[in-house]
Amino acid sequence: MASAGSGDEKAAAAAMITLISSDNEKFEVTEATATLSQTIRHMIEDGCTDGGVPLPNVTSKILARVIEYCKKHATAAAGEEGSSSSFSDAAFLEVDRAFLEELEEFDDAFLEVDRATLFDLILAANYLDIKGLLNLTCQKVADSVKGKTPEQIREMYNIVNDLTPEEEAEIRRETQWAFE
Amino acid sequence: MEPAEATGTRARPRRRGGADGGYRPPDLLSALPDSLLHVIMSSLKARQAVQTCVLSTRWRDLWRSVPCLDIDLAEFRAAPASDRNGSGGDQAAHDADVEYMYDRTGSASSDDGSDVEMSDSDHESSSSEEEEEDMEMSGSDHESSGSEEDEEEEEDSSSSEEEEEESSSSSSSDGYSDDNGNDDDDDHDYDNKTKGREWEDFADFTTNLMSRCNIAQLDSFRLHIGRRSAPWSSSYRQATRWLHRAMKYCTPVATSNQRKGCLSSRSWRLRRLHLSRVHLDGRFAEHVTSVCRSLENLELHDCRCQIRSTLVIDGGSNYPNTCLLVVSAPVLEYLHLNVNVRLYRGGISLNGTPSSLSKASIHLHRHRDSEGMSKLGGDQLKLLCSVSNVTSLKLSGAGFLVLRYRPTFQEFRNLRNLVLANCDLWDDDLHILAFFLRSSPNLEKLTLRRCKFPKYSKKRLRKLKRKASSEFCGMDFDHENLNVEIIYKNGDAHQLGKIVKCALGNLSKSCIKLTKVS
Repeated sequence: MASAGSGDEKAAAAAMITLISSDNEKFEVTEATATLSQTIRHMIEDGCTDGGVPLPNVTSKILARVIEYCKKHATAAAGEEGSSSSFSDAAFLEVDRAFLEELEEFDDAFLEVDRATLFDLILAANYLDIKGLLNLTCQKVADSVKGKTPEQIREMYNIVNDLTPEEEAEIRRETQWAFE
Repeated sequence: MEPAEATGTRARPRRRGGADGGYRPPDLLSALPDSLLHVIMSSLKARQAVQTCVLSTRWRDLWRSVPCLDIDLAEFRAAPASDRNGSGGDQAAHDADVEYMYDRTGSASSDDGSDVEMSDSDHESSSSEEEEEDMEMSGSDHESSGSEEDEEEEEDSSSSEEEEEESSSSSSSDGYSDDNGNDDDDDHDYDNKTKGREWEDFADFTTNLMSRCNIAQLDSFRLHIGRRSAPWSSSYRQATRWLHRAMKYCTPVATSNQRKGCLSSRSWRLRRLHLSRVHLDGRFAEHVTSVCRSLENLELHDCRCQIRSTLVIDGGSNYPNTCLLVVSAPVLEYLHLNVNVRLYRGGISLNGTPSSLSKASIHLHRHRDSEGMSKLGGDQLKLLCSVSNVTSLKLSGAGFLVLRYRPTFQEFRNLRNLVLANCDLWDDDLHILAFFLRSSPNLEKLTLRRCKFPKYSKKRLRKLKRKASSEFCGMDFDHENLNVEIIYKNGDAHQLGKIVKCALGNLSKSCIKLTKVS
């Protein structure tokens, strides 16, 4: 699933990078896709990607999803750079808008995952330093707790309240100004 | 009382967790590193971000170092109750009940003198709440060459507001305590009372938050007061004081090392500042310039300066991005622009021609040699036209290219007092002077302060005189009531007088006053 998808044709000439997941699965991606990750970008710049890039913190399941995201967004980035010369401004804007909408739909669909996967994606995005993906996934978590009381958040995320009643009362007293 | 101090040495017995003894799904959220929890918390409004402190020990102090604060009055909206926690809301009515119950727990007095257990390293600065009121930011430390007579106004306000600020740090309800506990007073309609309560909660929250969280580490700060939400006009000023306070305590090192003399070394790492409906006074621009050196994104939304209807843009720049700074201020009364032309390459433009504008002071540093480098270089007829309703105008620092395309007429109908300071008037036909005189039928006082004039030979003077009669005096109105003062440093003052008299044609000699300054 990681090898040449339709989005890769433009960059056919570009170098391919092999990413190796924690469970030793190999994924071949274009450099344009891989460099959405600042971590990998730095590795490429340092010339230490020969023989593949081992990513011991990312499982194949999560890496596949991350690559899916990067491919889509790398195409978007390439589109932005390449098309301004070939379209008139108005046409370009039209294409651009349609593409952004498509990208938004993609992001929405991309986030339709179970909670464990979502958190794995957050950690992977953080490790690989993919800003867009990190913001996207963190925003999803933030949205889910927005407007919820602490009790609801605890329940939602299985947060164990390890504060003693006295401690909790004390914290609430200290931060009364945020609760009243 | 230092709020960060807590009973950290105590053992933490598990309370609710695992009480049922069965399988508990893992707490993936709390397992995230602090930096990621901060990213998530940064998307929450400030109040909710603080409220996470009761989730568990893990969350207790995270809010103190959150990098983005989004303080929004909407979060305190009491009615309808379902909105009080912002947008969420499906169970909001229930939320409100739960919160209400918990509110009651906070009645006993706190006694928290024990040891501090802290996971974050950046807590030194939360002790900055120990009032260091000697760190005054008065107008005196800003280095701009602000113009002489305009500063006294700002100075006044800064000293008085400083006092107010001190009182607000001890009591959050300053300025409107009369309304407190006076709920039966029928003079106040319900709506205003509700608004008042909301504001009190909001003010109490913000004052506490700003003194307890790590302002110095902030990356983004947003202060949002909704339209028509502030109950009293003093509320807006209070919001401004929070801002000033933040800029005061924005250094990571404890401020006790700093004395007034080293204010200039202070710099806030803040990158984004978004303000909405906050009243900005003269000190704001000054502080932003001197303190927010890392600022990349300043968004002022609907921040009218209604206190004195004064807009001061003093220094600053839109340099790296050459975007246009648009000032949209329909009720503006006083505009003070003191800018380096080269730092505003994208230009500054005033939206419309505010009819309320009565006084404008426009100082353009380096205008003379910046044509083509900046949109503020070269011709500025448009900018001048947008202040054409003023009764008093001071233009300084401008080169003769400020009216490069030699406009013939733009009515400055109300203009009575015109000051041209340090301007170049040295081209042959004094066209800048001619433009203003032609355009200002009601001009009463013209001051030429240290302007550059051309050197005239007698022949040229005669030529000017002939030209003047056509250029300057071919108008329906005369300038009989005009008084001219020429303030000069060196050069032949009497020649200047002659030049101006020639230029003005029908001006009687007694109306020209020459003043030499050292």
